[in-house]
Amino acid sequence: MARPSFVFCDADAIIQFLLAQEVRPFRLLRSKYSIQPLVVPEVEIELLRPIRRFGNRVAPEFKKVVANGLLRVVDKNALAAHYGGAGGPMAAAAAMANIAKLGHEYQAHVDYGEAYTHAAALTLGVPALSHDRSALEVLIHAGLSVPTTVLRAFDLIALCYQVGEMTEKDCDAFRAALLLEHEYLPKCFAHKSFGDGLKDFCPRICDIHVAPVGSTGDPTLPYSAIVDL
Amino acid sequence: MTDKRHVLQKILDTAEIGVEACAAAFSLSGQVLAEILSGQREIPDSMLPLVAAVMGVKESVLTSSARETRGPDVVPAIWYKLRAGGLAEADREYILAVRQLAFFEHELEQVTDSRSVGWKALFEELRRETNPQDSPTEQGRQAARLFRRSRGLDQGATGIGEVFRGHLRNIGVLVIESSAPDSVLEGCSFYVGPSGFERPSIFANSFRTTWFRRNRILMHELAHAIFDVESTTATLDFATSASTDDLQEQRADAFAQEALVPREVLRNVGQHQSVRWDALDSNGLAAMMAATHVEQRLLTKALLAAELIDSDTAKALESYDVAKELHRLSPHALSTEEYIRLHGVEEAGIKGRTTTTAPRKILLPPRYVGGVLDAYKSRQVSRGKAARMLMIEEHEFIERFPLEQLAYAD
Repeated sequence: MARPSFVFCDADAIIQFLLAQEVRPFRLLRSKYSIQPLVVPEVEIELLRPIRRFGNRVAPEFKKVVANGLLRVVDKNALAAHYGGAGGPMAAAAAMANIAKLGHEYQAHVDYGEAYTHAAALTLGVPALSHDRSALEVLIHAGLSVPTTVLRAFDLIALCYQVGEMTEKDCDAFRAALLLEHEYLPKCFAHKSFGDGLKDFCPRICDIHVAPVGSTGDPTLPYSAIVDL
Repeated sequence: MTDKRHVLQKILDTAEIGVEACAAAFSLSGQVLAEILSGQREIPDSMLPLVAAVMGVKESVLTSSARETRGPDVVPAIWYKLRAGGLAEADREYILAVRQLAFFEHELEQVTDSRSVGWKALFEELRRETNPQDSPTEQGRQAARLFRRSRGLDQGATGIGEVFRGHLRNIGVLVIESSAPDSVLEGCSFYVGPSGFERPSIFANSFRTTWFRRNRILMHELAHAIFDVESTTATLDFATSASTDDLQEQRADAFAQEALVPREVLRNVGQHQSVRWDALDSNGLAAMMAATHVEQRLLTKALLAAELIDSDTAKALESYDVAKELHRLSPHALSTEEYIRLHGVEEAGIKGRTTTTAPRKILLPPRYVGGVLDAYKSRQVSRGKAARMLMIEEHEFIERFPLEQLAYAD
């Protein structure tokens, strides 16, 4: 996949960055690659709700990253600017309508956030950022399309490491923060440091102008196409 | 003010429902709902079906920009009814939770293609076959006899307390038994679900009521659902209310009695237990209760109505202390704690059934919880969706059902 304009982020992945207080990946996407991380309103609402497990730690941090533009809630204006020109607003309206239609269909099987995140990513042909394997498997099982690239938080961490935005120590701190919170980690990082786990991790987004990191194992899942920046 | 929030605000004001409780019913934070009501943000269209179903309005009312949505008549009648004297805020919040559950049950049925509408034909048949010219008591009896026959509950002429809930759920009636300590309601009945997909729901408050008593409450509410709810929107029965001359209440009482302990059941159980009606002692009465699945008062009343005992004996029977013997004879007489001690939490069937994100904690029906878990295991719904349907958070779903969790390669 060529460089996309957006990444649609699901709540579970955003929560990991917020808990670890690590927003450099979002900043890198925006500043270096002009990729705007977006959330659908359903995810925004989910993140503004108190989550019993994390108390009130998530909502205030989420508000901050939205306020400083690192994350943006998708709307017609954002999409109209993306399409540009006189036809921009019309194209944006059509895209929003398609997101609503697809999302409604997906929402029968998966929760609101995942449904509309994947619907938006598919409509715009851009990656999603989500850890919800359960949702992806259920959508595939139902015969519904999923985005060709669904990123994990560690894909963005690996990208930051690859381009020197984060050191190995920073990445290890991110991993440690997630472990502390009993959060999901890809298997290769579950019992290994970032450096050791990276050898078995195949990043789904990488900068082709810099030496690659991680394994180069063939992606076999229908949502693991690699994004080349 | 947009129409959506205009309608919402009107319902909240009419029903006297707090923003926090309403937000919980919509799975929103209180602050987000407050922002919606003040016009700072819109409800996402994706959430309108849930909002409409919980509030009891058609989705089009929330999307229409027509002028009529601004009139006072957009507020569904149930919210006026629930504002009636005697009801507390807690009662309305339990009802919100039940309505939320009904929406998720509808979603589960849609995705598993398992919608049950058997109640429609049955209710119509019961109304059609009941003579409105007869006394309310006779109407209740007629309907109960037909109900027992049409559902095969008359087979064996024994207590039906252990099976009738399953029968009702199989035909699409939402049956909820949950402890509502701060509610004044003993039971209630009303229609729930998205517009066009409504179904009857009956609720029995399990706080300080025995299983035997709840059998009567549920049957009483079923009678209301059959005969009264369409015309009165909702029927409410209070824990403190005394007997009434009201036609609807008389009919519902007669229905409950005839459905649970008709004469043939009394005679059959009595015969089976070699009961001498004129010499029934407290142990014999407890054994009758254990077999017929009804409380002492209703059993005595039924025995009297069946002319198996006289009024003096009835008075004496009502005064017997049967608690100890009943406790020995029937597992249904055990408290939840006692039952768990004896049979374990799995057997008690309460594990993983309590909601945590609803406006009020309610105990979900076991069949519904099983249905959600089956849908999850067969990959019809995701883990997040299953958690939402069970009205808990995703991490609670993982903690409560560790053995059901599906494994993924990476």
